[in-house]
Amino acid sequence: MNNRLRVLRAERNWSQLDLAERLGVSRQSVNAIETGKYDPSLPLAFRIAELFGLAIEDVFASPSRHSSKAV
Amino acid sequence: MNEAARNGETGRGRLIALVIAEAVVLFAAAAAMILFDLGWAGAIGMAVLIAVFTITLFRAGEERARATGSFSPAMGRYNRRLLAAGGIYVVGLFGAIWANDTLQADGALAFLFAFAPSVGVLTMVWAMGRLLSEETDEYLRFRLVRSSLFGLGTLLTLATVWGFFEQFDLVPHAPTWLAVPVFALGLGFANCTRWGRM
Repeated sequence: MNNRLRVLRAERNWSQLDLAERLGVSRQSVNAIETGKYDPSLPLAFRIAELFGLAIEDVFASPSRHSSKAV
Repeated sequence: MNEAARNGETGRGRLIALVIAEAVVLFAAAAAMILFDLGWAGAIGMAVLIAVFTITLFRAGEERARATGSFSPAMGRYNRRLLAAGGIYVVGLFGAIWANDTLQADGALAFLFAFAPSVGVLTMVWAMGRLLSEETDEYLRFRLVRSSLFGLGTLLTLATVWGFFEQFDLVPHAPTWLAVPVFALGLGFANCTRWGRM
C-alpha cells in the first residue's frame, strides 16, 4: 500500500528513528511501512495519521482507488 | 549509507566473526577432549566455553538489533530467558548423564532423570511463546510469526521425508529430540533471508 510517510517525515525533518520513537514502534517497522513492504494494522495506521494531524486517507492511498499516479 | 545501516553492517561482521571463532574453538576443544580423554573436567570446560561464547553472541546480536532498529524490550527479555534456559539445559543434561551412570536408576526415577534435559528445551519453547505474546511491535511480531512458520515447515518437511527414508532402511534412525534444533535452524535461516525479513 502506497503512503506519504517519507514525505510527511521529511517535511518535519524527522528521521525514521524519530518517527519510530513518537509512534512507539521499532525503526524497522517505520522503514517497512514507508517502503510499502508492510501494511500497518488499522490502529497503527490511525496512530500515524493522528501524529501528523491528518486523516488516514491523506497518509495512505486506498489500494482500490490507487492509480499509477504517485501519492 | 545512513548511520543505522553502517552500525548494522559492523554488527553483522562482528556476529559472523564470533560464530566462526566459536566453531573453531569448540571444534578444537572437542578434539582435545577426545584426544586427551579429559572426561568430566573436559565436559565442564566445554560447557564453560559454550556459555561464554553464547553470552557473547547474544550481546553482539542485541547490539546489532539495536543498531538496525529491530530491538524491542520483549526481545531483550526473550534473550535473557533463552540464556537461562540454556543453563537449565546444560545442568539437566549433565545431571541426567551423571545420575544415569552412577545411580543405575529404573522405573519412575529413570523417567525423571531422562526428563531432566527436556526441562531446558521446554523452557526455550515457553520463551518463544512468551516472545510472541509480549512483542508489542506488530511488524516485529509479524516477522517472528513468519519465521516461526518457516521453521515449522522445515521441521515437518524434514521429519516426513526422513521418516519415510528411515521406514525403507535408507537412513539411520534420527532421535526425536532433534525436533527443536531443526525448528530453530529453520527459524534462524528464515530470519537471515527474505523469508523472515520481508
